[in-house]
Amino acid sequence: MPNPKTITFRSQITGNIADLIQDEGLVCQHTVDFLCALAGNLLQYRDEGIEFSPATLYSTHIDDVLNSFPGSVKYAIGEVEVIPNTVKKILKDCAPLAKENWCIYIERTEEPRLRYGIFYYNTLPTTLPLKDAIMVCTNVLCILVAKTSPSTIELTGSKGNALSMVFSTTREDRVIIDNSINDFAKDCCSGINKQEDSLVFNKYFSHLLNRVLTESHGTILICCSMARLQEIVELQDGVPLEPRLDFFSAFLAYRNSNSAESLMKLKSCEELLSGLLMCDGTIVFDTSGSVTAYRVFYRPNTPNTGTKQVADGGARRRAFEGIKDLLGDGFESTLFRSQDGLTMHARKVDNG
Amino acid sequence: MDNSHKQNIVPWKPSAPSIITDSTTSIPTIANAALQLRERERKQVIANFQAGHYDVVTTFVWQRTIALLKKQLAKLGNEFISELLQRPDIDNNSDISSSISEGEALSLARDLGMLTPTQALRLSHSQEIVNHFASIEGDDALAADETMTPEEAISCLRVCTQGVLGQETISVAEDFAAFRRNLESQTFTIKSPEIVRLQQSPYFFIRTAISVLLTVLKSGKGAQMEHASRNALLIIPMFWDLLKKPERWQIGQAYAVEFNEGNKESVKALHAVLLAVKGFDYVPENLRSNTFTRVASAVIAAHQGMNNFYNEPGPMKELANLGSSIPGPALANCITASLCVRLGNHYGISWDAQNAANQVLNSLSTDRWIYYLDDRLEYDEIILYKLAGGGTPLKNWINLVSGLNIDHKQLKSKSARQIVIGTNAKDDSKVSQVASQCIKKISNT
Repeated sequence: MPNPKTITFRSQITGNIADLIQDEGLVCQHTVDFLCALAGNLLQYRDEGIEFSPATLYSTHIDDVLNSFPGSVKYAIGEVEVIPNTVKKILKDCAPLAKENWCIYIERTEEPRLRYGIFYYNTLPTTLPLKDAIMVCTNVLCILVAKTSPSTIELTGSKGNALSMVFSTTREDRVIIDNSINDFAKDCCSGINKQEDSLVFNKYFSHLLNRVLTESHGTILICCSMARLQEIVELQDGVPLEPRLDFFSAFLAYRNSNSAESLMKLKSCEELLSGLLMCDGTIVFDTSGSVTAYRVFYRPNTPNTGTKQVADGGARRRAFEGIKDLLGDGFESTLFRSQDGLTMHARKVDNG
Repeated sequence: MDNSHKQNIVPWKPSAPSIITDSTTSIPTIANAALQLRERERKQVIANFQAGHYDVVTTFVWQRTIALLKKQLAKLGNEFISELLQRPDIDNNSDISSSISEGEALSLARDLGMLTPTQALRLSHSQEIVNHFASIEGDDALAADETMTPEEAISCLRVCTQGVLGQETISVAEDFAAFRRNLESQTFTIKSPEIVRLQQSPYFFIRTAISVLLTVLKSGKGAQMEHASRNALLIIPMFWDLLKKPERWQIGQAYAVEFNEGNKESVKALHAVLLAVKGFDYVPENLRSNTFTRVASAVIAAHQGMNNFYNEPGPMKELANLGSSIPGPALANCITASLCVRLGNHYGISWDAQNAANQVLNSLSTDRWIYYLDDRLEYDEIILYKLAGGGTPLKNWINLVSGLNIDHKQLKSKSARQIVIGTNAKDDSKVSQVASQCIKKISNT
């Protein structure tokens, strides 16, 4: 009777994590096994039926790392052995607490044992995101483990090494992490007069899109002027936002007044954008950093005659391929984000 | 670093010589040397002098002088001015001519080698005289014979011409400009002439050098940033032990600002510096200090400007209303501002602002007073001039500080210790003398 065969990703993940932490300056099989288990557990971690995706910092000198984050506060919660089985306890203790600006820290001591808890640092709209902030601490081992899409866990080291683990059957060459989101953010800011605040806004907007897309289940974003959108028959099925969700004005108000009210206003815009991304259909941005419409569905004007190659993937991917053909003349660009984290950006061809 | 062999080398100083000597008293000679005035204006200055309209002519000359000086300072860039004055409220949208006070403009011009220390001192005196007579105009209570004297007017015209109006171009000292350029275009070593000179120069040059370095770190990109980062890693640890707490806070504050602005490259550079000096204790938890610093600067500007008695209460009350938990980076500025109001000037105090000033000063713990006395007072020119000048401000200082019962043995700064000993003994002349020595030390160029 033939033996049934079972495969797991373990050996592949273990090897790559071992390489990553070695490049980051630590040789420790316990840590490799632990991080491997952590990555696996974080993928779909649920507690009492609720899904949690906490960002987790693994370091050998957590105080040195947190000292570098202005305004950081940490709460120690427990101490465990460095074995894969302890991952569950750490997540059980910390994950429900690590929401919004709170994250989990795990410190490997000399013995070695693991001290863990949660931490927070001041995060204003323009503050360095955690992934960039740890790269400042090149003097100590520090690895950020975070879920960047429903099927992707990313490990980023303070020395700049990164490992993206996609738990899917998608071809690896199609999930290369590139600057798609940043490029799309740049398109959305292209109509803003070049001034110092516009550059800062562009950076903020890129971080914002990266963050909200990470939380989303996949979407299509469009950068298109409102006048042009009204002309495109394939994109008439949608809900215009009146007034438009103006991030640039909210951001400028925050920068100029620096008041709690302006910060709350900006945060409320961010929250609404997160909500819009949870809706079906595409989200439309203009070139001034505003959202102008949502739940915009692509309805092909002409049926596929069979001469054109149909794209692989689901309905969203096919819609993206169709939308790409509409680019040009006021329709600047479009961004596709799949549930697997596959991100693609298409921009109009500039004939000028 | 061994400081015992300091030779007080001056890394940068004004390059343009004075065209009018200190002994010149001829109005036409001085007025005609004021190249920055139009021919018609020069004639009017002479005519007004001859007619005895001293306050009118000095007010005009003073305003032209200070406007020109601020215009030149603005050319250096707002970010640079903001860092040098430690005024985070000044950004690229600020108008320098209205954002900085006359006193700040003068001290900045001296620090950058645009004015000699003597010229800066004389201009400060002229500022006080001009502002005094400008603000009492129409005051019936004033005795009829209390008017500006010809000597005061000539002195004002002469120093304005020597320092600003008589210069074809007013710019920062060439050595300073070169130093600033080199900070971002080359990597210094411990043997570089700039570093050797800096090691042997008075404190305020080091303070200015640190400010320049921080500006470059904040604004630099690419190769500029790499040079500046390496230079910061050489210069700041070299002088860290010498740096007073306000300057250490300035570095920590720069790190926090850049972190919150999301400027990764600047943050990396400053992180390396703070790591080298173990200076993370000086990184503020938040940027609340910016608000305190902005309001404290408004108090000082009101105090140094015209109609100060009427203009001080507003910002002073605002400062008091911000609360008593003044953040570390803003502490020195807030104490200076409150002392300006509390001590007043030769003509008295602003009565309406006293409650607010007392509220701030009474909330300071002994530790915080010691912080100010040890780390700021001997370089706090605004307050030192008040103590050196005697009169009402010195009397108010003695009343205030002697009541704090500060033990001079707790102080590390020799000058501050001497001032506190004199203050506790209610010895006006001793306090005044030590303050004068401190000013001399700052201006020892």
